[in-house]
Amino acid sequence: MKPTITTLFLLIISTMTLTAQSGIDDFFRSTGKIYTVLGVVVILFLVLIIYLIRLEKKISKIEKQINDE
Amino acid sequence: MDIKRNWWKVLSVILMLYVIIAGILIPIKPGIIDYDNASAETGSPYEVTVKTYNTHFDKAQGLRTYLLLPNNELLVADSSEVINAAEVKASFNIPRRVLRGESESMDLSLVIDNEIDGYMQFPEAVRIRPSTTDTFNRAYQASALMPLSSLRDVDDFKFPFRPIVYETIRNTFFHVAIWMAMFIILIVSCYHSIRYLMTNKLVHDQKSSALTSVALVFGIAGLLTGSMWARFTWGTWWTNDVKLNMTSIALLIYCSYWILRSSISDIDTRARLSSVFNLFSFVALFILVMVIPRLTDSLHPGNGGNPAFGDEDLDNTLRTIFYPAIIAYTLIGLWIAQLTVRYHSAKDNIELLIYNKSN
Amino acid sequence: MLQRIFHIAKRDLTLEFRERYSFLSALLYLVAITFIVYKVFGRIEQPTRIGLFWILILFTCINVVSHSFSFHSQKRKYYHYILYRSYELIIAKWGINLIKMIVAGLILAFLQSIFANEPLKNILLFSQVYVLSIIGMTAAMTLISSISSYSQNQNTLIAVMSIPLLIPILLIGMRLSLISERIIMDTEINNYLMMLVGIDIIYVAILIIFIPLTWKA
Repeated sequence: MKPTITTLFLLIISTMTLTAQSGIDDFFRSTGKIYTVLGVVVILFLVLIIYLIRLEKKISKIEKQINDE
Repeated sequence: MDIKRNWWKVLSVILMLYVIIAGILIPIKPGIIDYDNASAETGSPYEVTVKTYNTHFDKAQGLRTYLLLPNNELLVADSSEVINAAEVKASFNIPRRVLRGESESMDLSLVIDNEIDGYMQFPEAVRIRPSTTDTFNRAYQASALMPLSSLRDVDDFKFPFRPIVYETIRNTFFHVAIWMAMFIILIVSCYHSIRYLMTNKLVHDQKSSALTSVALVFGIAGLLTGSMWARFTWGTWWTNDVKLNMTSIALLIYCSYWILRSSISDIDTRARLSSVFNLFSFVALFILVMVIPRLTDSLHPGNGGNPAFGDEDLDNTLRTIFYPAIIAYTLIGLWIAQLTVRYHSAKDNIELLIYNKSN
Repeated sequence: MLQRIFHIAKRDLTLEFRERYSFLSALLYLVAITFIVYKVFGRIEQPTRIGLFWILILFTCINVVSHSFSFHSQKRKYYHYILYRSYELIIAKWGINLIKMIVAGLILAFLQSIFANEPLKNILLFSQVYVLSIIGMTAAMTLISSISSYSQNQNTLIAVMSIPLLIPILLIGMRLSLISERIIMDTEINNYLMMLVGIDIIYVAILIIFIPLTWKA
């Protein structure tokens, strides 16, 4: 279906699992776990932006087609 | 851009800004994180050091520490010694007759209040056991009692404090809201599927498929953010939780929707069949939402076996941001879907143009 | 109307009988897997046995029902569409699938009782649960096989599309059969049965409403 999104999903999951050592853990748990909130916002942002970039690419392909005609 | 026709896009941006700014800047209420002594005996002194979050003990004047008794009276600590802004050492003299029976033990809540932060409590923090020593000391003076109404409450606009969750309560606006937006978008998508089946206009099919793909993206975002949140509150990336299983099934269903679409080449057949499948899978999803939570317990609040959050689960301060967040995500989703639809119709027009030219 | 449904069912059954190898191969698959599993693992615990039962039923259901539309040439479909009302046709077809699945379930339960050397503890409840869940499962599968008969890779598509949709039925069915085997205790048997009946009604209604739409070609 959507290769980029699926690969992104796998990528994020695998990197998160790899980096899930105690140092990172402590970081995300510090100051009342505020960095977890930050992480969640960043993930949300990234997913939306990547989807928009995909759309953007598709549209620019069409624009090229129009210019060629 | 025509503002009058696209007012909802402007609204989505404004709401989104509001959600991000207010959702991150409004502080959470103070609360008790940790304490070092969880057991006490009747008729003997009890000392505890309490760590708190977001408190101003160093600036506050009248800091008091209490234990909440079962008859809703407060046992006031004889001394509450401030260590720093977020740490206090309290000592109690537990009375001889807290307990009704002889061998019974009970859990009391730890409560702290001052005039700046208001009151905060840690439910069922201290276990009180009957005294094991027989010595009867006449000089022993138990701590004073106060009525519950003497607690000082501060009325300010802050997010509630919950144990373990702490600041991540803000994720309600980013994680929970995106799920809600996903469901709303799916409902809109079903509406367009029905419209397609009634009118046979391809526009509706395009709309419905674009909405489904946006919903899928929202679903993936929700799953990833949920995974992140779960890691630092429940300790694992993936719990065997009802809602997680349900949503992963939902994502599976909508992935198969895309496989179905890509495997049929005829446009009208594809539109018809995928509309039917879309409706069917929404009904199945609805059943899933109702059925599976009844079979097992859930870590998520509001499901079986998790009464701890109770009515504070979504309090009014959270609501003022949570509902706008849902609307904002839904509008942004509709916006993205609209762009996708416009892209598809532009593509169709161009292909038609090329086709006409070549003939 | 009932008469016409019976007529269609009878004619379809004779057709099926001529092409009986498809159903027999599905049964053979069922028997072979049960045999292999019991030979490989020797003794199987009761909960595993129930899980195995439902998974095998799921795959047999996919095998059996996915054949119900693949034989239909475009012409015969068109002919059917003129001759009968679509819901009559689909009820007949669904009834046949139901009968086939009941046969398959009987065989599987019988085989498992023999291999495990332990009969089912509450046959009445178990068969009730089985029939109720198979009604919903065949209804969903019939609709999906009708949808996917237009695509090129029909068999994979059926598996991919149907399994998520069958999960609620499977979960309740498994839970109820575990209760009937007295592995877990639960007093809400009637509630679960009502849930199953509700899902059946919804799925059958969807089947009857949507099937004409998938045939309009």
